[in-house]
Amino acid sequence: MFGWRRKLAPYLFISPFFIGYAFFFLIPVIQSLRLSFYHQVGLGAEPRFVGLDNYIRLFTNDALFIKSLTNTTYYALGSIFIIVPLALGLALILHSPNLRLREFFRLFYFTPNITAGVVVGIIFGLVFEEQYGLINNLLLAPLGIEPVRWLRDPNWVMPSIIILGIWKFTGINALYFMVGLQNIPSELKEAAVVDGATRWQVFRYVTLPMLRPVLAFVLTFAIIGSYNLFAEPVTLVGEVGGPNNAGLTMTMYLYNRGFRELRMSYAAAIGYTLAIIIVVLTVIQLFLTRAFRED
Amino acid sequence: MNKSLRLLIVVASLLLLIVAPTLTSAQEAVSLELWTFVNTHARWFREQAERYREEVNPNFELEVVEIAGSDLFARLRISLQSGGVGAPDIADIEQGSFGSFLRGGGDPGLVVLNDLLEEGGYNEQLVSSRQALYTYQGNTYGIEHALTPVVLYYRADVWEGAGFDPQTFETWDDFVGAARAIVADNPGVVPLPIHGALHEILLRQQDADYFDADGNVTIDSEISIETMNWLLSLQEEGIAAQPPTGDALWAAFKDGTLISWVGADWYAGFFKDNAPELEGLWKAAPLPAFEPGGRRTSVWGGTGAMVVATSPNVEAALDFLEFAMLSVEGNVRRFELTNLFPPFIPAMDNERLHAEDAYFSGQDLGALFAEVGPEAPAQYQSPFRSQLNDLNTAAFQDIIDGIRTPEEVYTEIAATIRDEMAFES
Repeated sequence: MFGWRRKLAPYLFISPFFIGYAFFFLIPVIQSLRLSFYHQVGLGAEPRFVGLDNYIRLFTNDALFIKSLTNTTYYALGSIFIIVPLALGLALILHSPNLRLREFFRLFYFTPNITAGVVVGIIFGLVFEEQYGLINNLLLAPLGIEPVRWLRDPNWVMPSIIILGIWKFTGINALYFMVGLQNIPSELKEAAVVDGATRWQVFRYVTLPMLRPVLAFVLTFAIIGSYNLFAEPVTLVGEVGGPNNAGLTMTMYLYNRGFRELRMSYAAAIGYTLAIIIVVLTVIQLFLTRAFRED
Repeated sequence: MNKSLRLLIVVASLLLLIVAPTLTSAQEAVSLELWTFVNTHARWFREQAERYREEVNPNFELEVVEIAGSDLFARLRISLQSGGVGAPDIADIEQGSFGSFLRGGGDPGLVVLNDLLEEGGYNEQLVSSRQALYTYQGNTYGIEHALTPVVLYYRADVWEGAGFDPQTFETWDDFVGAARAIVADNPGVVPLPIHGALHEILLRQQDADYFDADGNVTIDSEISIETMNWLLSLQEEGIAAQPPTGDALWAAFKDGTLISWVGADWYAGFFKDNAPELEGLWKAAPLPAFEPGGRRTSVWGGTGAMVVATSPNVEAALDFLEFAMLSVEGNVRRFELTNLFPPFIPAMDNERLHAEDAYFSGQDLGALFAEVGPEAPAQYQSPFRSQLNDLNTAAFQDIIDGIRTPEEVYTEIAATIRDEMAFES
């Protein structure tokens, strides 16, 4: 008699979460997909069905969108090829048995990550300021280097944002790698050393392959985080992304179109394009790190 | 006690309970929420609420919420988009962002004030060119806080020390001549900072603007390109330069790099808030004209107080706005607190607008604003103004650095905006 209730029980237990999820996430997500096929501008305007027009316009007639796509990809490349290796290096150093005060250093490198993005953006704005900023006056000037126009030269805007990203995100990624390193059985490394492997060979043939799941995880979050970057660039260079929109990220562009210009349907199309790009890149990345392989 | 007596007592008590609130206070309790992004306005609104309580309704409450500029407009737009959830009763909306509420030709979600303004005869008492900023297709949605007459603020000690008196500059040629001499003796000093709004301000001084009265884009007009080229030529001579932004701007004022500033009445308050150590060193003069006898002022900025249509207290909100913003006392008090010159004509010659300002070397700023105020040019609204401003901001650095000419940039921007207008109609 209690059979059907027992089968029902799991569903009942997950239903509170699922109901919340459905209302605040699933339904709006589906609604916005629907909205992306319409044309709706302004408050209280009537939507007009336009099919794939919004998507087509994004890729064929929207220079700012392409700009935001290249900018964000530029940042993502910086994230993947600078921040991740730096984090791995930091993790290896912090994992080293010779290090004293390890806990202190871990905390120290992690704290930038918990600082609010807006605050970081404002402070880095002062750091990067051309005439009165910290870097130009305290670092470059004593070395006799010309001041760099960090936030005014379009070529330096994205590097500035990447520097901000390094400061903010290296710590957390190093933490993930440290966990991964701790899970590598030391017998494997000892066995390799006994077999005559050099430090580099131990790293390349033992440590790195064992880190593969963590690496896939870190890269996935690096990609997702890079394409979603919003708070820091907006506070650093402003809502239009600075000179020549050099700091315009895709989410910033979505925000401008949707919430400042009230082109909601167009913004929905941008959102979905962003999501698809992230999914595609993540899948590619997972294949490249061979995360799906069972070894 | 018998049943009927008990019944009578119960009924009487109930009646008394219902009637009691109206016996104790003659006015009903009103509670309004107001959003503003200017802390000087917030101070003034709170004072006006105090005055309203004393003079009109002791049960009036006004909650003034201060929200940072672009956040306020975004939150209000989102609120209105979702039918008014979380929206305030009254909101200060900056003129540059008001246009975006008009996008798509839909209802901006704000109360039309035409009746209020007509019935009170206020239309004749407000400077119409300012009200044009909050009017679209015949409907007025906001009441202007400030006339925003633009003047030349200058470091009196530096200019007078070099033997010049900006009060006597009739034209920009006079200004440039003096600036050359000062820069020759003091290299590194910037007589004319080219800030982001300067081009716009100078255009309006010459009766032009980025949009015309019919909403057409005019940023690519001859006069717009010429004005920018003129500024670039001054930059080349070393007289004009791009100032820093944010906190660094005040550092540049304080270390004496910037010795003048083309700004509106509300900028006086900024000087006092951000650079108090420069008190007594500044003065203000009318803008030099482009031609002898030409206009000596312009307009920059402006904020309109508006009533949100989804408010459950529209009548009460309108009443408070009328009391605060369409009264001589309200306008005069606002000037005393914020240095914002009123767009309300009956208040303009009030003697309290003419106090000596210690920061500005004892000058009567009110008299200066009153002198140039009547010449204030019109500025036209457009639903595409904020988008144009975005494009212009992004391209500004290229123009200043000489990477692209003003002609190239303005032509491109105008074409983009025209495309957008066509796309959305």
